[in-house]
Amino acid sequence: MKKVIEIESLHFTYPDGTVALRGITLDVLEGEKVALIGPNGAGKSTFLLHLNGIFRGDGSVRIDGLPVEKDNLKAIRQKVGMVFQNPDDQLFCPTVFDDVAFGPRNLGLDHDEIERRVSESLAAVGMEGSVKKSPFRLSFGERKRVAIATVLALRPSVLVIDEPTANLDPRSRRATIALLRDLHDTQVIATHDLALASELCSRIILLDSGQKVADAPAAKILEDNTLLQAHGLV
Amino acid sequence: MKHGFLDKYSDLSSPLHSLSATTKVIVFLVLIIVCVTTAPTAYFSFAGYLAFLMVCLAVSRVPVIHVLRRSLVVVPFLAMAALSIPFFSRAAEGRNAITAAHPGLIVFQGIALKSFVSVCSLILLSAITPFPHFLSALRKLGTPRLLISLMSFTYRYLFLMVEEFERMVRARDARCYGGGWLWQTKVVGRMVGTFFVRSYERAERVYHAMTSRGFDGRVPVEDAQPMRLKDHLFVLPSVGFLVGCRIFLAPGWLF
Ligand SMILES: Nc1ncnc2c1ncn2[C@@H]1O[C@H](COP(=O)(O)OP(=O)(O)OP(=O)(O)O)[C@@H](O)[C@H]1O
Ligand SMILES: [Mg+2]
Repeated sequence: MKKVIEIESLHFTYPDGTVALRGITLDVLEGEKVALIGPNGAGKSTFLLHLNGIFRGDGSVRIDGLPVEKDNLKAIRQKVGMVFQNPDDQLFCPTVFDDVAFGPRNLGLDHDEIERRVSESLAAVGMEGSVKKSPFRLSFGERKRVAIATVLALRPSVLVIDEPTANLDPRSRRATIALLRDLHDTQVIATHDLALASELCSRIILLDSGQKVADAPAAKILEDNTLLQAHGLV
Repeated sequence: MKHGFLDKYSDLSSPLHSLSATTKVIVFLVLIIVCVTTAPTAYFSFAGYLAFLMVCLAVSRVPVIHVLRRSLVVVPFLAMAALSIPFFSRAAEGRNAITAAHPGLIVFQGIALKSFVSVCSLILLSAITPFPHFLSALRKLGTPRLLISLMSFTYRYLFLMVEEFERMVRARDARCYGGGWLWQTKVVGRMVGTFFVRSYERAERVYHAMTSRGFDGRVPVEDAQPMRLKDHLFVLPSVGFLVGCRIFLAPGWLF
């Protein structure tokens, strides 16, 4: 199968000297849904930000065979749909329409195509009714859905999502899981929600202290209680 | 969302609400310009402007109390202006031969009338125009993109920041906040510092989210609604009336 993400010995240190990633190597295949789990501060968010070149550490990152480099950034950011943890960081336009249209407009698409993508993406997350609303008038769960729609509008080849179920009530959480299950793209999901990982993902990667500790089929990791306990996940 | 919105009532439906935002921006801009250039003693002109505002207000069905309450924001500025009254010398009196009033009072009365009419116009404009439409109208009328982006971000994040600050205040008070004024000043100073750092970090995260979707420095705005026949039917008579009040009811061209 085709490799969508290829990463080789990725290291990253924050400007203040915090070493966040210490040599991560992994591949993600097309159509795979991978959960990235690990305790607070493990480096999950830092890792995700490397997938579309917002952070550039040492080591190599390739998306669809394309190295993440300055010249490729535009193409890479279209291929990697990144959903941030806090929807308030992601939704910055005065209306939901503008927010979902933001990516397509940056791609320079024409008006009709933009409208088509907006309605298609909002329909995919069940938020068609809110096109004209302001993001701050939506509930947290609704904002989360719109945040997902904003990247669907780019038609990415891989969805990268940071903590999709954090701060959601049980019903919104269920709805989000169902939504992600129906979106059949390749997905990389950083989460603490082991139930989500087991329901959604075929494979789990366990990070701790900036290192890859385990990488195996979901069932295998979830039944390894000693491993999960050692890394503070149960 | 518990805060009153900047553009509260802008989702009512009335003939005024249904006009294009560009129309409304043009008319109210004209109103403000003719108003601030009118001589302070031209009472008939000001009566004309106020009458225009009242008709718009009635048509729009925005509650009068909303406009009046918000118009109170000018009071502190007026108080400042009032402080300066005694400092106007009687020497300037020659210019105001029409009345025998103290020149400081005339200046003050001018400031009061002009700021009241201008502020009410803005409040009414914001109550009949959803803010995103207001921005696209400004864009269409040639406002620089950078300013539009700034306003659009402010609109989006203002309430979030107010809420964040309220949360900080609550967290502070929950821990038995008190003590001497020096200590209190220190605490407030630190809160402002923290607030700044948090906003800065949020800005960074927002920027990441933007670049992730291919942002290249230009914030795209929705196209403004086009001006139709009814818009022209509103603009022409309104501008005619306002400019007429300015020219025919006020003495002289100067302020
Ligand atoms: N802006 C920053 N400057 C310096 N250090 C940082 C910064 N952001 C994160 N770190 C550090 O990098 C390490 C990895 O953080 P990261 O946010 O990637 O963890 P995470 O796995 O996403 O944790 P969480 O589950 O809490 O979201 C942590 O030790 C953190 O303190
Ligand atoms: Mg994180």
